Amino acid sequence: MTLSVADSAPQRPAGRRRSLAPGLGALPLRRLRWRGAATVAVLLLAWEGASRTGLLPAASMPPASQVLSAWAAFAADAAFWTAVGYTLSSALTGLGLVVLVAVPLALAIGLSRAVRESTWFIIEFLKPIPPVAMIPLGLLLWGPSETMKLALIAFGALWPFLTQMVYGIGQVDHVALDMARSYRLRGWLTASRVVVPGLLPFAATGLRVSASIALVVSVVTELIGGAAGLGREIVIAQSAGNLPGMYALILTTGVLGLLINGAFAAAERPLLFWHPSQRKDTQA
Amino acid sequence: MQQSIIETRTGDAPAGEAVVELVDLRKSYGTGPSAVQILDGVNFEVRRGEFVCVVGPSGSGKTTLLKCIAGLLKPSGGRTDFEGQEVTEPPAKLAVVFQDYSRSLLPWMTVRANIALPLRNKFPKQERQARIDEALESVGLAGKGHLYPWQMSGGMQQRAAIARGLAYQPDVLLMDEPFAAVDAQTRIDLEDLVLEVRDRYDTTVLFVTHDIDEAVYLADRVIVLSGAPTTVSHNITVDLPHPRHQVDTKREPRFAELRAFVFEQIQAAKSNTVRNRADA
Repeated sequence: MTLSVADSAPQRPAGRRRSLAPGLGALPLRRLRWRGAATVAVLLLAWEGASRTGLLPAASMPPASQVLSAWAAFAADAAFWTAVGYTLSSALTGLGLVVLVAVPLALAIGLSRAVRESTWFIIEFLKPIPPVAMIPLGLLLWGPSETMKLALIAFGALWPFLTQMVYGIGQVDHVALDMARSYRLRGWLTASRVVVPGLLPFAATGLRVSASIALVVSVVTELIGGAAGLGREIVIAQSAGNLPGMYALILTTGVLGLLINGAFAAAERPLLFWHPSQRKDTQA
Repeated sequence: MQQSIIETRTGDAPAGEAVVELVDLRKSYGTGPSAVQILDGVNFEVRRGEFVCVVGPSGSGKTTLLKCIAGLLKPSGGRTDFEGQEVTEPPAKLAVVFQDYSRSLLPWMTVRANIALPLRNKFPKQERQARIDEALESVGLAGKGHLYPWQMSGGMQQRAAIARGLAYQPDVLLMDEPFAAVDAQTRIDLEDLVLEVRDRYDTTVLFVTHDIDEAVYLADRVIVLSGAPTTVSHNITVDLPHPRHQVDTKREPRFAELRAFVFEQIQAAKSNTVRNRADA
């Protein structure tokens, strides 16, 4: 057990034999879609009504219809898509950095007790620092640049993936490893057929959480740090008094989050078809 | 009282070449005053072609013993030899069937791929396929190789694990309480299956179990372990006729005699263990 670094209750990707509560992925997709769409429609209508009747101050909260038409106008606006591109590409690049840093780090922490014990304090110390609090430092070092953004995204998004990887390494099945050893499997076969597939569920969960954080930090660094992207557009729209545009941009960040989550969930399915959380036809 | 009619061997070697030999095998965990002695000088041998069952009370270090024989654990003292060589790593001509099939079979691979994995560096591709087919057929899983382990019942999964061991064509098949997790009916089927494939593949089998009936039914020889710290308390030749039969064999007075004898030894070992622990 190597919970030393991972004691912030890491999510175990659905227990091997039973999962207590079905995840969102276990709900029938069609029902999810209909109910979800209906809820969104009701909320939009309520927003529209509240804003038009003065229940919500129209000066700061314009009706939903205005926001939606501003949103529709963005679809034809190249500047909007450029901003989306900046935000998304930094989030994904930052996530790539996270993987590059976390995989060797998790291996070192998971396999060496000395590394685990000497890094525990510093990791637990850094983990709760909000990436936002690091923006002044980032600005001092790199200015409102892409480098600043990537550094902060990587810093903020590192922890969930790292924690899951360390936990996963501690959970590698010792019966499977004994099997591999007793049949004298070569090192690379043991790694590629026994260890890595067993780590995938942990990596996938960690990566999905880290991806959401990467997007959030990406927008925040633009919003506060002034780097190019949706966040900066939100500030510009607000200071120009373009409230429908501002809300449309905020909604865009939400949609991006949803898309990223959906993309990762879809990529997991063919890789983790064998995992109890994914498979449908169990006989035993 | 039954000691007189049970032949327990200590010194005189039986016919056949020893494939597995344990010489004063010792294993303890931990160091200093907190060290726990599990195996305290275990001596026995398994001859080629024999079916040997090891029984002992729970906590007598059966799994530790098996891991030392398989080269998965380093003994603290003494040694185990495999085909005349001291075991320092898992021997190439030995296959292990683990108790927990749901963990020893890899869920991301089909049964076929699971069986193929240990054969990769051993046999050319053509031969591999033939071996897998034969092994699947001999455990009654012909045509089921495309399934994933989790699409099968527990009994079928353990059959698949046995097929993996057989396809590897070991000289010795080491089985660690392989039927502890399956239901009674499946267990009976699997016991007969093991006897069958043992004849077909002509392998030596070392079978660890806590089930006395199973041990007496399957074995040519039963090794009874004492309670921890463990030594061999009895080495019993099972002189029941072959082939064994679930009803006829178990109906024989001799079966009942042997069974009762082993049972008594294990009960005695258990009370000894309690006494040893109280003394310590």
